Amino acid sequence: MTSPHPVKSDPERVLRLPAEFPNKRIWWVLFLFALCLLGLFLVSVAVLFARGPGVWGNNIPVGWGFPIANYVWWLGIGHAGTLISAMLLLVGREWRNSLNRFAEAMTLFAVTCAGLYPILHLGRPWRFYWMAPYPSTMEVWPQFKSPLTWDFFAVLTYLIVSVLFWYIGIVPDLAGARDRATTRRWAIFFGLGALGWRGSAQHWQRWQRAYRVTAAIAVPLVVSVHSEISLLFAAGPVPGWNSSVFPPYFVMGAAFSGFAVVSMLAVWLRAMLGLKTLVTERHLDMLGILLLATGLLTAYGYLAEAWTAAWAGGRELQTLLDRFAGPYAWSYWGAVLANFGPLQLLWWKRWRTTPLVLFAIGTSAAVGMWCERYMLVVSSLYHDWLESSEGLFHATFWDWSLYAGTIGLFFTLFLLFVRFLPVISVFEIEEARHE
Amino acid sequence: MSERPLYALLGEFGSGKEVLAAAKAMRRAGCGPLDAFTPFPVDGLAEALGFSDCTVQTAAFVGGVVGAAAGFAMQMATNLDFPLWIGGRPLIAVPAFMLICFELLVLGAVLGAIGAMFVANRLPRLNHPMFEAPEFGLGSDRRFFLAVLAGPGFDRARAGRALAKLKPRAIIEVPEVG
Amino acid sequence: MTDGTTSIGAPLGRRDLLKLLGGAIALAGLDGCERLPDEDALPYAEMPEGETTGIARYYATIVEHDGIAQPAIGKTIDGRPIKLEGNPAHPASRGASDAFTQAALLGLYDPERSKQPARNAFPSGWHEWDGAIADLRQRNDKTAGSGFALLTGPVGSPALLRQIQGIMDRWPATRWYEHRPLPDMGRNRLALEQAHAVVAFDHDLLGPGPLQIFHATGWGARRRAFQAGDGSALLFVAEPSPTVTGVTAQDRLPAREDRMGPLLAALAARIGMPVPVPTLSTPEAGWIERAAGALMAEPGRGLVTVGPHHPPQFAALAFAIDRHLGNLGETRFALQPAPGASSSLAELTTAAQAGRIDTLFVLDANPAYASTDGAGFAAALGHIRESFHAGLHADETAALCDWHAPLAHGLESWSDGETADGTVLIGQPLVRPWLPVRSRHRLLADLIGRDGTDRELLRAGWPDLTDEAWEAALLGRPVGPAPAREKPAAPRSTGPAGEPQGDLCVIVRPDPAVWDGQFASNPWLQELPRPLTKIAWQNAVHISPALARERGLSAGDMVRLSVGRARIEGPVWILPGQERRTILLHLGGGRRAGGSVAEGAGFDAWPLAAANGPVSLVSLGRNEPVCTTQHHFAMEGEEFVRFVDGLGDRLPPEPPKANFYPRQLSRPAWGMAIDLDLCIGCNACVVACVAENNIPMVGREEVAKGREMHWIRVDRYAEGDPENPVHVFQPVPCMHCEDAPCEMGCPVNATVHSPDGLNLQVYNRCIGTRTCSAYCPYKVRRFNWFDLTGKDPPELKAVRNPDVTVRGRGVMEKCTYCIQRISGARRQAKREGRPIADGEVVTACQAACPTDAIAFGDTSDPATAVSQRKASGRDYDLLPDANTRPRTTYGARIRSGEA
Repeated sequence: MTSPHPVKSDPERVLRLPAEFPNKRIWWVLFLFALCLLGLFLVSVAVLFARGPGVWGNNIPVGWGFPIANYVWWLGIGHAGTLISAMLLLVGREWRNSLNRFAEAMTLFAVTCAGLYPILHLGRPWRFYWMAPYPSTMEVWPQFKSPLTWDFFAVLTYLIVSVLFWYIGIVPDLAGARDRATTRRWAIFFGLGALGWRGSAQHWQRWQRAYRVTAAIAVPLVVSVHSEISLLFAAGPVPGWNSSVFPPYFVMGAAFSGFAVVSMLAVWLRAMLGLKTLVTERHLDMLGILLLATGLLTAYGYLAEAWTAAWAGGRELQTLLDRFAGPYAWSYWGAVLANFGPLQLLWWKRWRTTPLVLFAIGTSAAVGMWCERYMLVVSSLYHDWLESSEGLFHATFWDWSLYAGTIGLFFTLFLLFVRFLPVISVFEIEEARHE
Repeated sequence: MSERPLYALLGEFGSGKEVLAAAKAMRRAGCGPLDAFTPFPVDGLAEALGFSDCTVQTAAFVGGVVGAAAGFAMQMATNLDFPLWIGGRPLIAVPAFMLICFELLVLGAVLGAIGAMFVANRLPRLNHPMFEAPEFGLGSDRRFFLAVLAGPGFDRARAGRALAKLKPRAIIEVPEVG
Repeated sequence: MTDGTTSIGAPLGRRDLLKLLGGAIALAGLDGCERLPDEDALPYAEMPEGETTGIARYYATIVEHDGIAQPAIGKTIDGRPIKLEGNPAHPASRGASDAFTQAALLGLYDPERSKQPARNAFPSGWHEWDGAIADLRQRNDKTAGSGFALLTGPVGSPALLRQIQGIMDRWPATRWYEHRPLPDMGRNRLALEQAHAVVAFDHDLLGPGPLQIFHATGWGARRRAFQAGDGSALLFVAEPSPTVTGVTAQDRLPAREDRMGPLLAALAARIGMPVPVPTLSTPEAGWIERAAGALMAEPGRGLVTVGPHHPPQFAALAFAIDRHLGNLGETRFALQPAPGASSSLAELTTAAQAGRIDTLFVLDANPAYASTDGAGFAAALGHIRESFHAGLHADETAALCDWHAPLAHGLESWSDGETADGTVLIGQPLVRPWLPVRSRHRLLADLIGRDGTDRELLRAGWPDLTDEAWEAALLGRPVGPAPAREKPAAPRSTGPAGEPQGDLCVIVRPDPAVWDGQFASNPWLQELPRPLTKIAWQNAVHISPALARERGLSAGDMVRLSVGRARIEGPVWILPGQERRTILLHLGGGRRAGGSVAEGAGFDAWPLAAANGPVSLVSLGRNEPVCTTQHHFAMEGEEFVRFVDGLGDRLPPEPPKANFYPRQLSRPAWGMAIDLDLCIGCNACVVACVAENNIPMVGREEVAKGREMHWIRVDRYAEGDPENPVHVFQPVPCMHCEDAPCEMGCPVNATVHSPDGLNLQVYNRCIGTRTCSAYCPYKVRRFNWFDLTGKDPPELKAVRNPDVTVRGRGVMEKCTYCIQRISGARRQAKREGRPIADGEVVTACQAACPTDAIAFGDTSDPATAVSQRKASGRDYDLLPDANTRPRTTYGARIRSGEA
């Protein structure tokens, strides 16, 4: 089914990318690297399952260490895709079309990495399904007043909704790629994914309604999911956690870290796949502005948290001082510096539109947000109520290897996505061009 | 191919505007049920073809309500089924139940909307008469098809004439799948 | 073996040897229910009919520690001893126990106990051993024992003494040497219950040791009487380094060891004795003034005591003060002198080097390690033709001897022993030995070729006892009447007087957990946080904050400490309240043949124990973190431990706290009250809990990571001037909060509240999210980071309490208020159709506590002991601002001791 019109517009090139992939060598190098990290992930998980969570540095009092910090980090990153895609769709910002597909894919893969952590984190991971309400032989149900149960439902819902949202969004492009495929193999590959989409006007009508309904509901979902993640902390009577500022603070931080990673991916894909005409300077500019805005809101969250702690006094203040000057002060100041230092460059359009600068700022923010998650988990737990309970946490090799491993998992999935699926929403760009 | 009954008669157009105008004209001509096939949604096309159904919205609403209600009922029922004293809190702690209700509301609404979309669109369907027509395809953003379907009130000759009047790039006969 | 180089383990490697021996020996007996106690032993409580499995039987027995018998009741289920408690009927225990007694149970099951006789460190058999003993007997018969020497540890068993006497009667030229590694109180005893004012000079009378239970129960009784308005309970302590006694004192003076002489003299002068008045510093003078005032206010009810490691002049002076104040025979008494005379290890060394000893028989002593002159003893062995050793372990001394025989543990052999108050108890075996071991009595009987079972040997030693009296003795009653408490005689005041030492003063004391090293292979004790430092699995060079500042040292800095030519290397630990120029070392570390448990646990301080010469402390420039379970000892302005000033003072009432939720009202409503005024931080509760609740030990590295598993921990805080802070102990089990945050966190209902007010942990439902621990303000929850129990050897599986679930990997655990005991009492009450009576449920920690600091019971009934404690006006919640409504509450410490 070759196209009778061999004119290759930029959007068309995207649909042909899988078959005519440029820079295959770079892709392979990256993919092999990602596979190595994925191998590390598998080894780390095998060691973990064989020996137990004691291979990590966790202890009493710091019962939650890397796994929960990384869970929140990944989940935060996983919020940007849906936000970009759904919120900007609803407010009719067409420039989102160049970003939403890979941002959503990023969301999926980040949420996958995030979702693995709470399971791996368990003492008995093979029993994770006990969180689900099903009639068991123990005749006991989940405890629905626990923030973890809320989380289980929130993350599961978020994963399902994200997958569906991403998938119905990509179906028309898969159909387009199917009908542009030059070989039967690709046609079958895309055809299976397209589910028989044929662009019927009636289908489009229903599709649009479903897409918009999902988008409309995904925005509060994103807010609710990360608010609930914050309740994992805020619902516990732990100084430094038990604060009502947490839900918005977490949502902002999540959006910030997500936009940071979207910026990195945008710069990278644009260069690797030659998409400069699709992901233009304007997109980089808008990403920069988003990053700056959410970054400043996150900074406000820091101030609000410090202010409430100082105002509350007592143990809250003690925890704040521990964060400023305790053994984990590096994570607090690391978060402040990496999140908000380089960010200030984004006040200038010149830097916003310089890909490398944007990439570097995105990287810095991702690192900074990791420091923040670490700081939130560890610097609150290591010294909570009783002075006698104080105890330090030191990450082990297996803490780091699992973290690196999830990054490998993320990139493996993302590289496969880049290699085989349309990375940009072509039909939406075409729609916008036609109007 | 002519031995098999016809599925639809297609007219190919070069832009969304053209196909929209054509759809309006064909609707007026009234020579059979209509549909259009476009690589991206064309604003107003469905309305021009007379499509309007609220399946998706309704399903989303129903799904949301069912989800939230099921969430609340589940939390009530499980707590009553095996009452346990937890942290000194009441057995039925409504505020604590709201979060899961909301998540299931979202899940229900999204599954309802997207499920209804697939069901109403009868997707997935990998074999369809349209795919048998070599001229058909969504492989270009410059090819839009208006179809007169061989349904009740279809008149092959009138439809052909009416289509031809709209000056399509091509008129394609799409047979039923053998 | 005379070259002194090869050890039991050396040629084969210890593990290889174990492999060789393992399995072959009848360990299988541990798994079944075939191994019942000796058929002639009488169960302490009623004998259940038939052989129903799972029915507990109790046997009265003893646990001997350095020659002093601790009265004990052993609980066995299906033939396996699983728990020891104090004997409530005996005044030297009153049901209480100490960490050593509790841990003796694990000593019985120690998988690394010696399992086979050995010759020259190679596995041998009893047949060969018997042959060698027969040769020895013939030789001795010819020479009347000339050249034959018997070396024992401290002997407190009358039966053993009689046997030794029998040997010396048969071979009059035999020499008996008794190795007492540590200074002890001899025949003197303190009746602390009667002592309204105690002045202790560097004497850790409440501290660990064979007299701890006796002293601590006495002190607890006195202090409770004081709380009830019956007289004072004053304790004045002058000591160089904080001990649990000093911490308990109302008035503690940090003073160098060499200041005890002048201080004693000052006290004597102050109460009007004709003694030259030494010069004192202002704090010293003040302390003496207050102590003298208290003593003079309580004539006949005071007590002055000096640590047994001090020269006899000091003891004589303290004795004179007591005589002057009329305290003799009231608060201080003496036991009848022990029959028979022995010589010391030093005399043995001298005699051997002079060639006067030809054959040595070492019975249950390890002088090659646990003595101030281990090297001298090893060298002396080189002059001895043939040496025999019998011990629980193939230890350092076994490695030097030609013959080694495995000794039966006290809990698997018949014996008797003198308790702290001078009465004699029969020690029944709780189980028949499953290893081919022989008891001390058997080995000595073999020596003179006497037959008979162990029980017969023991029974023959008490020919005057009627069968009724014998049976009563088997039920835990003392043999014969309690001996008269004699007025002590004045100690001999000969020997060198204490002389001022150099600038730095090194003191070497037994370790609070592994003692002189004899418990180094016991993981329950190795992992026991030492009371004042919370150090586990090692020892340290304890220095004062001032010395640390002066030398620029911080905790974990490695130093080389030398006294004369003796030196050790170890990490520094800074101990507030230690006298500025004093350096404290604990014995028991650095065992060379202590088995895998003792391997790497600390350094050997024995060489410094009697060393003389200049002291030097040199930093080695590297840091090796010290393994502790607590890292922060300041309360930082919080009131974790609260105080009231005097008797009758009440804590200010807590303002009512807002709470959305009603209280849980149920009957019963279990609760606990821990009186911090009575707690002396002795750790008996911790080990009792370990034994009762199958708590796994995790080893040094895991403890260092913060993964110890103790369900009850004893927090220690130091407040105020680091030179002499107020130290306090606070045992922290689960608080069983009514509004428990942990329950809110658990997503799978694995921690829930029971209808009778317990915070339950459901192991088989737990998936290990650890949210409960994160949310717990008290951090009392413990997590199984690995499979800590699955790979345990069969011995360690046998020691487990069958009423308590053994936890697998990945689940949370914590204090249950000994729910198995609650449920046992409930079933019993239900069978009898009555409510559970107050005092019927006794938790393991409560049972062990020598001062009765812990009360447990139904808080819904105002008449129970626990309710009365909670109504005392000193009762408070730990972390009231957490607003969790804890069921465990604390009684504030009373600063004063004056009625």
